[in-house]
Amino acid sequence: MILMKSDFTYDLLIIGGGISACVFASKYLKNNVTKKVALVEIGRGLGGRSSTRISKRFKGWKLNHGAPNFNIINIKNNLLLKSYIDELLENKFIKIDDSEIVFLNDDSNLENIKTSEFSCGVNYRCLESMSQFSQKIIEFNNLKGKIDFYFDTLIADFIFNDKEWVLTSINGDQFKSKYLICSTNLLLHKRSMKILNINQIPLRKAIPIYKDKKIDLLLNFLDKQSFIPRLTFLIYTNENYSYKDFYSNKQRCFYLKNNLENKYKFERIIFQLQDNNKLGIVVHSKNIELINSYINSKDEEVFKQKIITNFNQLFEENALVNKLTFDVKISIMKWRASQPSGLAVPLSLQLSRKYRIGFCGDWFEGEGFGRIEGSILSALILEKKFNDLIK
Amino acid sequence: MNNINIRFELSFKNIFQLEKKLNFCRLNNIKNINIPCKGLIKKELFNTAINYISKNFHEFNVTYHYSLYHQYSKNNYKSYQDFLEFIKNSRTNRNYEILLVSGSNKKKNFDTVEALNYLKKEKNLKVKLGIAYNPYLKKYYKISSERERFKRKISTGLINSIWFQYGTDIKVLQNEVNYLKKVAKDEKLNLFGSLFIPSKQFIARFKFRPWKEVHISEKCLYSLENFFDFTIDLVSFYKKNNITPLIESDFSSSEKLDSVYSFLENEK
Repeated sequence: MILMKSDFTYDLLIIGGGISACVFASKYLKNNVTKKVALVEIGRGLGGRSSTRISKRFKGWKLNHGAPNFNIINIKNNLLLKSYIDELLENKFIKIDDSEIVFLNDDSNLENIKTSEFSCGVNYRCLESMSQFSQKIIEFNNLKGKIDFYFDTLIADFIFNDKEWVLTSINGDQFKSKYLICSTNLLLHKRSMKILNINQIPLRKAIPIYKDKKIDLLLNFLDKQSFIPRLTFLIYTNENYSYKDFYSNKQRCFYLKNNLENKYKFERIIFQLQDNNKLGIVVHSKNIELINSYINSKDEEVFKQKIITNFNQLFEENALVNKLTFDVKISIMKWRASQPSGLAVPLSLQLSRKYRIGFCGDWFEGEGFGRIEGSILSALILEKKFNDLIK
Repeated sequence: MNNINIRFELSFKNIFQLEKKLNFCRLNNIKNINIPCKGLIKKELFNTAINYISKNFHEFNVTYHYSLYHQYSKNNYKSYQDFLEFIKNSRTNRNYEILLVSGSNKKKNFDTVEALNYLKKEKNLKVKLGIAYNPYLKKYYKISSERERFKRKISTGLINSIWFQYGTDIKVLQNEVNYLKKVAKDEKLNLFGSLFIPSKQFIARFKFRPWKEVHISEKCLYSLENFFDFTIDLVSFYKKNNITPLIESDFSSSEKLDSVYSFLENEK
């Protein structure tokens, strides 16, 4: 039996604290000033996959360990998205990102054509860290402190009785809400069964098969989605480490082209200048071999040395980047699911009227699939639909 | 996933495209395919496709749509002889199935009913054919001959399968299926039903140029959500009535194929 620690009742409950959830919450608060809202997030703070590690071990370091910036393509010129981005710009939450993007390839080792899925369209950077960006988005309309935040909280159980949703966290906290928004898809996807060690997708308990066609279809689509695991290395360089040139922007990003990515097992390397003028380096890898060798490594220090060696070999004759010394500090983050891939879920399945539940996130269809653009747009679209529903 | 009973209709502009799609099928363990004779696939390309598939892709279980309209040549007699030849080849060459269709414009009294009447008189012809049935003609197009034509076709004893045209009115479909089952109760008939996976592109194309005698309700055309709901209902109707879905929308990328399966399967 689950011990009930507390009982919270809301008009709306949002599961997940990434950018999509924050955009939805913000828009919702703007139009529903009197409603009681809660946001439940498994992590320690907002931001989801575009978050910032504020190190406890190393004072003064703030490294964006997920997406360090974002790009908006908006090829169809969606006005909802356009005006939202304009709003963010006006409020100085973001600015156009003028940091350098360098593509590394085999021949010249330097190339400047922008072809990455993360870099076409217009690039934006947040004026502060990425996790503050999410916070600002919410706070912008959370004028009366209407939202209750529950961090470090993993929902493990759903029940829907005709009037309301009843959710229980693994700690036994119980939440009740008239409406539910899921921006995470963990609790709708088969991977949850492994992670939570259960034999049924949690949402299925509340909405059994054949009860709602849309939910059935949504889960079928999600079943065809997989998630790219990634490793992120956060490198805290020494005091005297700097570029070879006089580059002074906040960020500088290096992408490895296919051949190089296979060879060095790094995907992209983002240099992030800190407030204390030190240079932080975040290395992303989605190389399965490397991920496995990390999981199986017996000595983490030996593994870290390998990463430094790899880094130094990659930048051996580079004109911009200095080699690392072997005494730099590294912390490693493993993302179980850093980006959806495979089949995108149709936006038509975003809302179930019958069950008063809505979904948003970068796992929905569109050119923003798997990126922040998709997170924002799907939240904006859902908010419109949702407002019609509660009218 | 692959134990779902389902067929896929291939559309292609030329043999290269056909080859690409067949290889995609092969890769994805799709065995049951239909080759239509409509749109860009007219007589010549159709015949080339048959030769090509018979030669290079043995593992497929193919149903060819023989269109009396597109295959017409010179006069009724010559056209009938061609058809007869085609049927005989189907026995000797490769054992494929034939769905006989009149085609969009009927030629000089030479349609399915007519051809079957001739065929009935042939001796030593052991062949079974499929015929098309459009449940929506009477209600939506004021053409009331479909049931009568069906009776005449089935009475030849040459029919072993019925292929339902696409449409979005399950009540009408249910009515016609009931009727057919009553009329053909002594026959062993395989039932097939056309299925489209709804998408924005599909709706846009259909609105721009609706297909002749294909009824898609406004409700579906103006809301993708409704179209999704209908499709789920149609899939479960097909399942309940033992009707094998024939996927007519493009499925030749792994995403599109996944989306097809998303509509057809329910979780274990």
